[in-house]
Amino acid sequence: MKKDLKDYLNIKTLLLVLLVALVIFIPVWGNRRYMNIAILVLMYIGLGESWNLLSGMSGLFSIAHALFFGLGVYGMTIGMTKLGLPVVGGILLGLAANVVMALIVGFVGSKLSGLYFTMALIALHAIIYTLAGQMSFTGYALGLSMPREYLMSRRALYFLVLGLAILMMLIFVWVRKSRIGTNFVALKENPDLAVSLGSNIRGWRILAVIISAMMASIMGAFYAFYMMANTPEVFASTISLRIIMVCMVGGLGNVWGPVMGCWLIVFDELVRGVMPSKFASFAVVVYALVLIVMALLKPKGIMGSKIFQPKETDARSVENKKAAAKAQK
Amino acid sequence: MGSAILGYVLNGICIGGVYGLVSSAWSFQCGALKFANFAYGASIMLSMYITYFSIREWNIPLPIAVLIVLVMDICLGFLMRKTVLWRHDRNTQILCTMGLSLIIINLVDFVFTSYPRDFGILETRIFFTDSISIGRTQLICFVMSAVILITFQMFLSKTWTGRSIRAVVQNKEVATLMGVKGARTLDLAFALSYILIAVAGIMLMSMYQVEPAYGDRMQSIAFIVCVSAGLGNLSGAFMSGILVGVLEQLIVGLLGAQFRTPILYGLFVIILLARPHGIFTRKQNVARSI
Amino acid sequence: MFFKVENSTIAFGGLVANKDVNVEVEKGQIVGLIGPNGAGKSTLFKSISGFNKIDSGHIWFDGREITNLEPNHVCKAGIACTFQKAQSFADMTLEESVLVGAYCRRKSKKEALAYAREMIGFVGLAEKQTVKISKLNMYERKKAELAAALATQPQMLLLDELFAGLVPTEVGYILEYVKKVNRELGITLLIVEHVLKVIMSLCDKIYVLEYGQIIASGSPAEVTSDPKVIKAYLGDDYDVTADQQP
Repeated sequence: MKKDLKDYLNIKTLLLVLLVALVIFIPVWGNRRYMNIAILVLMYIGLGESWNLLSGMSGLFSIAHALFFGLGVYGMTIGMTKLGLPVVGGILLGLAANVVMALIVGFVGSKLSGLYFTMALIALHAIIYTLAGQMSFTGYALGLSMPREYLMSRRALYFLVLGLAILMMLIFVWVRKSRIGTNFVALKENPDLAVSLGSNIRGWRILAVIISAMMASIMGAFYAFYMMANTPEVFASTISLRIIMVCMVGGLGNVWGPVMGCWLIVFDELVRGVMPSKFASFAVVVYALVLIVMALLKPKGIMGSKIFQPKETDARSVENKKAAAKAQK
Repeated sequence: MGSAILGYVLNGICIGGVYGLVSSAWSFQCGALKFANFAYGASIMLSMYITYFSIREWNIPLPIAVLIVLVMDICLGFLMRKTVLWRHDRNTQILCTMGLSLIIINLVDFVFTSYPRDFGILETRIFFTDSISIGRTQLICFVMSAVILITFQMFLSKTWTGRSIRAVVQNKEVATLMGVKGARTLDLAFALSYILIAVAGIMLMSMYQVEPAYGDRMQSIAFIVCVSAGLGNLSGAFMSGILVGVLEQLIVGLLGAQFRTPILYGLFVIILLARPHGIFTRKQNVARSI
Repeated sequence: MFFKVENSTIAFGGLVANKDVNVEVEKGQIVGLIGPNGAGKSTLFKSISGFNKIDSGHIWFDGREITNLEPNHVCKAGIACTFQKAQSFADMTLEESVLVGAYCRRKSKKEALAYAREMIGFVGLAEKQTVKISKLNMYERKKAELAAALATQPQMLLLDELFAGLVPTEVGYILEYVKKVNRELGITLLIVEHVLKVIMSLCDKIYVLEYGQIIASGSPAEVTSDPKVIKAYLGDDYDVTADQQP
């Protein structure tokens, strides 16, 4: 089928062009505050892809995704300051810690229902969160500071995180198109049928958690360079909430979901700038409300809207629609 | 040393009774009714705050305060069922109740501030020997929990409403055919389980101090109790509640309070990995419907 | 023996669903399994495909024991199955859902996709490749399920009430596909059905289950004339001899 120029002139292309323009425009403009917001937004897009891979694609709802993210941050800072590792060593340390967590959670999640997976994740999250604030190794509640020589300019950080966000999106797309993704979706849609077709439920589910945890870990390693320090707050449930929200509002199981939902982070940061800190807890209430409403009314998010659906190519379903329209008349 | 340990064990048994009550409510919601309620710790915390504020700050007499908490919790349960739990999709339930939990915690933080509160009642202690004693309130709470749980069990097995709840839980379609209103029975059952939460909140408030994050602790205890007893097993939950209460007292007494969360949750993960269907339960064949 | 179930027994709580069931299937045969509702046919099926764990007994397939293996390992061993209630991946396209089956033995996407398309063509749904499963009708879904099962390249296929929920003309069409599977692909078939008419024309050998036990076996003609079978289907009051008189 040959496509005209007209076929490309739709809302999707428009949004894409807008997005690219924005991505180029922000560093040129270079306002420090907006640069920070842009960096955070891109980071949450990366984290959103990681969450989306686990929850949207594989159907294991990760309620405490900050666990994987925080381990990435801590792996980097501990590796740098306490163990004197190079940058790659820090990343690998975070990844290793995440793989261990993912194996435990994935094992539980593959053997039992999603409820147990959630409980195991909450448990591990609580253990790590508590320990992180109590051990000298992790710098107690104040955390550890990264060596000063690794301080990067905002612009460098921006392009780094932009690259990472695109990398995460590419990973997501690659996984979805490959054998792995087909099995992930099959296990989400109908585990009984998938397993009867020879799909190894346990292996795939553990793999899903591992891939997702590693993606979050890499974003965490970036965050260590952004903040130049860690605090136990990287495990906070508000971070999990933001990750989930970005995906739920944007679109579950869709690579563009986190991109479509990231305006929430912009909004959040802008509001936070002008709001007295007393109302900070009130903001979480609003976000949680948005989350509930989205989950109940629009479980597929913005990407589930009609304008983003592929056109009906099947001749018969078009015919059916025509027939239905006739019958209504 | 020995008498200290014995003291911890005694205290643990008393508190464990309340834990049993707390957990069996969750076990009932999650295991039997199949509502994944992760706003559960937050609900207990809210009940505790309401109890505290109605008695201490608003000077409402105790019986009316209890009534207020009960009514509030039943309403909360009913509203939850109508709003966030009406879908039977497990993931939506988890997500929504998690969101609700954050809403409750942050609202409490906003309205009541995060300053920890307690009644500061100087407990009369019953001494067995010079060094071994238990608090009177604790003992009362233990007995009350046991009585309430037994009543609840009796209600489920003896009354028509209780039986219809069990019928709906087992097979909604067939129960509906037998003249039981499926959805309404589930509403009722969920609201009833929230009475247990209200009572547990009142009891816990009489013993401990409360802060917005307190719910997470109760949630952790409910997790470990329910999983060690097998999800959905109410009488088992009471027994393992006592076990966990004793264990917790021993950890806090002998090692220190900061080890409570890591050790309890660590144990929980180990149980999940090794015996997820309960420590004492035997695995049975279940006919799978595909 | 190509496929053999030996003294399979399974109980759910106090209810014995299968008791000492023995089934033997030769390579290339079409074997039927019939019986009234609740006789334990589906239980036996799930025991074979690995969804139930049997309490005692053995299941042998192609020279190796497959007793109580996980369903995916049973599938890898060469037994595919379709379910009583049509199962599908609602949010996937037809092509991808058959691809899930094709990935069972093929690791590269290119090969798997080619094979999946071949199987979709085999069941005659080639023009619907990119349609979502949730948009297909019942008949097409049954065929899609069959295609997915075939894509795992089984040596034996278990069909659990494939004809349930179809109108008679569609049953006729599906019947042709089932015969084609046996003839052209050389796949051994084990079919559960409680509609006798369908199974009589199809099977080389029939087992009859009642109350969890095999009460008769043999060729269709032998089985239908067995008084025990007639009793099981038509009740105690039915007089066998009355039917034979003109």
